[in-house]
This record gives sequence, structure tokens and C-alpha cells, in this order.
Amino acid sequence: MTTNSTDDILLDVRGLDIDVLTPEGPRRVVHSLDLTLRRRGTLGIVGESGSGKSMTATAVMGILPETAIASGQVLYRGRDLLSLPARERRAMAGREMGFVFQEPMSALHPTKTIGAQMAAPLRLHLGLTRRQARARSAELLDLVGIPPSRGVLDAYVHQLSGGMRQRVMIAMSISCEPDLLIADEPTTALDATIQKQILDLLAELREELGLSVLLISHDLGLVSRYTDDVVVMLDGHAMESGPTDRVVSAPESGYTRGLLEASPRLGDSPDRLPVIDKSRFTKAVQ
Amino acid sequence: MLSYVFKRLLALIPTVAVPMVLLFVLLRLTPGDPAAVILGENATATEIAELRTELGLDAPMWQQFLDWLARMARFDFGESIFLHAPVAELVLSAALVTGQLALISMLLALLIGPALGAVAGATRSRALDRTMVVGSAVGVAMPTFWLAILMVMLFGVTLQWLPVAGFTPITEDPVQYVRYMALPCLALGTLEAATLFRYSRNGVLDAKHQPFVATARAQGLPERTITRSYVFPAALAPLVTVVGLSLASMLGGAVVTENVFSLPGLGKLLLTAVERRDYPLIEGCIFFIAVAFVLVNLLVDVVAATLDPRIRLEAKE
Repeated sequence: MTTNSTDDILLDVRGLDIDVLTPEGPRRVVHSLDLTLRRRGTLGIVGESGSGKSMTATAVMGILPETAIASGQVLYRGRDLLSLPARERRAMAGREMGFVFQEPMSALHPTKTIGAQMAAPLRLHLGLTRRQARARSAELLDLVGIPPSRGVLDAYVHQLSGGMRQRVMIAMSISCEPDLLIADEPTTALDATIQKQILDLLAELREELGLSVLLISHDLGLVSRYTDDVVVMLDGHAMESGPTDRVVSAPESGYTRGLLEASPRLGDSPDRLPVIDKSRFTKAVQ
Repeated sequence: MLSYVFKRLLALIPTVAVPMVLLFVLLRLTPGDPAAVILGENATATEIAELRTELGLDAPMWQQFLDWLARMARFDFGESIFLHAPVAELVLSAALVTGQLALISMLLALLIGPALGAVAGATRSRALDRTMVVGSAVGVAMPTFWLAILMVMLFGVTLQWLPVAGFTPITEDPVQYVRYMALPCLALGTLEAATLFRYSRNGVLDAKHQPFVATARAQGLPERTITRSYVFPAALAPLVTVVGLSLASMLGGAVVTENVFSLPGLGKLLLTAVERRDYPLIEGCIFFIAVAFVLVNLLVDVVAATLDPRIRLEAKE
């Protein structure tokens, strides 16, 4: 964990800027962001809505909306993804890196069976036949805790519970054995007990499959339990980054301290919820 | 599924009965006496009174209603007052023509509309999209009769490629049949295609920004595959409902189209029947249209449910 040779680094984001085209002109939503994710490591990105954390995740994955442009460097195994041709870039998605979306209900296709949606990348990236892809999908579902007897392969997304949907989403994201798993608010749409199950599942899979995980969340408390390193973002800027233990125990940024104070504690019922005055901390030009 | 269809078929009885009773009342409230219309301007009051007795129009309203109810219950629509032929025969032969017109036009519209709509929705070319949208706006805004008349002027009068109006059954002369049906089907089909174009373009535009498209991209699927097997199916399934409604209203008689081209269809028959106060014939036409409307709607619901697993067919208890 202390070694920091370049071989040991899977993802290295340097000076990432993301601009979104709006009717009023381009607007910068991520400002010269740096991220480093070690092989088999876990990195959390924490921030509130609009902090640019999801934009960063989609930029790394190469699935930014058409109206957004990323510049800077996204080095994956030393190759700059931003300078790759679109076709090559797309071929890496699913194969090299998997993505777990926040809302599995809408992220899964409404009129295709789970089996059909799982089979598509298996057949594309691994060249499996229809039958092999189906067998592999069943194994993957079993791996994420859905036994074949549930008949999920032939089900549609609306027939599954929230937790099952997210399990399916995770099974899909790891189906082609990627090295990097990006989870963008994977538990925000779930209730608290399911939330823990899903995060524990991600942690288990990381161990088992040797994945590196980029975990995006608005919940610093949650991220602190599942990551080695963390970046705290506000208005497109990194406010603070470093080993999670250090950031949580001795935050350098007042904003991080505010986030930590804002997390609810058991038995503690304040009359007023703490408010963070962002304007005191933001690096964005107001 | 079967029990659902059966329940829907049972529900057909009140759905058809209500408009039929309304029709009975409205017809008798409308000014104009069939006897006077049949006998023409020179008829004497005595002649008209005699004919009224013969047609049963001088009986009290309640008695006419009971007689009518008894006949309806037996599906006995009687004879046309004016055409002196059984109503059932007249309606069925007209419905056959209208049915062909509606089906061919809809087929034509289905071949053109959704395909162009999908292209317009999926293309990155703004110019292409704009051009097609403007074209479809013209199509949606243009009244049927106007397009029909323009087509008659161009193909029938100026170029003289096709006959202006008329009809020959396909069984008598297939070539003549095609020549007669070409213009009405083209007119009706083009305008319907414009509607389908708009629905499918909007469907594609909506579907391509759905999160499941991002998922497919994150799986590394090529853009072409995503458009073809993720965006299009999601965009086109709702089209079934639109097609069904249009088809049902076409089956109800494309009154304008049939009149411009003198096609002996249901719309033309109904219009003639109303002009002549031919009560039994009007009732027969409306009965057929009501039944056709309900049946097409049932068909649409069943097809929509097979295309979209989220739609579940449940009969209301």
C-alpha cells in the first residue's frame, strides 16, 4: 500500500476539466481534477449534488453526455483514454471497466429480459454463444446472490425488487471481468438495510475478483467504511484528498469537517440540522 | 389472457348499446321525414301519410322503440327504405371496401412513417431532421380532401395515369382494382404516415436519452447496436396505440376520401343514408362502426401487452 510505482497505479486522472455546453455557452463543471486509483485499491469521491462527481465518473467511463467535453488526461494503465478514438474507447467499456448506475430501475431496459441484457456484452466482448452467455449470466447472478431458481434471467426489470435490480446491475458490470469498477451512487435508491448488503457485496467481489473500485457517493460516512482513499469535491473542485482514515480523522478542509459534522449519529437528535455554508469554502468563482 | 378477452367481449354489449339507443332518439328528434324525402317534392300529404303508416313511422314513439329494440336484439336491421335491399348486405359490402382502403392505407403508412421517424430521431444531421419535421408538419396539417383533390388533379387530370374516381372489386379485375385504389390509399396513407412519423421521432428522441442507453454504452455496445436494439424497441412500442386508434377511425369510414374518389365504402354509404333519412341503414352503419371500434381497441390492447411486458391485461371486476 505504501509502494507507489507507476505499475501499481491503474487509473491516474491528471488535470481533468469537464465543460458542459449550455444555451448560454460552455460551463466548466469539473476543474483540473487529479485522482489516483491503485490496482486493487478503492477510491471514494464524495460531494453533494452538482459537485461534478458523477460527471467525473462518466468521463472516466467514456459515457459523458454529448453536450459535455472532457480535457486533461485520464491515464488507464498508462494510456490516455481521452486521446483514444471513440471506437477503441467504447470497446474498453464493459471489458476493462464496469459501471454500476444509481437507479437500476431506469438503467435497465424496460422491455428486454434481464437475460438478454446480460448476454449482449458477454457475446460482444468474450465471443460467447447465446447458450454460453446464458449459462455465464446464471453463474454471475449466483455470484451476486441471486440463485438460478429465482428465474431472474427471464424476468423484466419491473418484476424485481430494488435490491435485486441493483444486484443484477452489479452482475452486469462485472460480467466481462473488468479490472475497474465504477459505482456511481450505487445505493442511493435503496433503503438502509439493502444499502449495506449491496456495499458488502461490492467489497466481497472486490476481494474475490481483484477489482479496483471507484465509489461515488454523497455520503462521506459510508464512503469512509469502504475505501482506502477519498477525494472530497465541491463545485467541481477537489477540496481535499488523501487516505480515507486521515481525511476522516483529521480533515484539512473546513468543508470536509462540515460534512463529517452533518452525518447523523445514533441517539443524537438535534433540534436543527447542521448547515454547511458552501460559500465559505468553494473555490468556484462566484 | 383468454378470460380477459372474454370479459372485454362481454363489455362490448353496453358499449354498443348506448350509442345505438342515443342514435334512435337523435334520429327521431332530427327534423326531416323519410316519407317526404322518398316521395320527393311533388308528393301530396295523403301519399306521405300512407307511406308513413307503411314504414311504421306514425306509431307512438314508445311503440317504435319497443319494435326497434326487439329487432336489434335479433340483429335484424331490416331493409333500407331507399335502396330496397337488406341493410346487413349493404353494410357488409361497403365495409369490405372501407376495410381494404383502411388496411392498405395503414400498411402504407406503417412502411413509411415509423422508419422515417426513427431516422429523423436517430440522425445527427440537423438539416435532415428539420426537413423531415417540416414535411410531416405539412402532412399533419393538410386536410385529407385537399391532398385527395390535388392528387386527382395531378395523376387523374394532368398526367392521366389513373382514373379520377370509381371502384372495381379485385375479384373482377385486379388491374383496374389497383388503378382505382392507388390514389385513395396514397392520400390516406401519406397523411397517416405523417402522424406516425411524428410519434416515432419523438419516441426515439425520448428513448435515446434514457438511462438504459447509458447502461448499454457502459457495456461497450456499439452505437449502431444500441440504436437498433435498445432505442428503437423502446420508442416504437407505444406506436401500437396510435395505429389502433387511427385504424379504428378509418374503419368508421373515411368519409371524405371515399366521397372524393367515389368509393362505395362505409363512409359514403352512411352519408347517403343520412341525407335520405334512411333510418335502418343509418342504424346498421353505426352498429357496425361501433363494433369495429371496440374490437380494434381490444386488439390494440392485446398487441400492446405482448410488445411491452409492463402492460398487464387485467379485467376490471
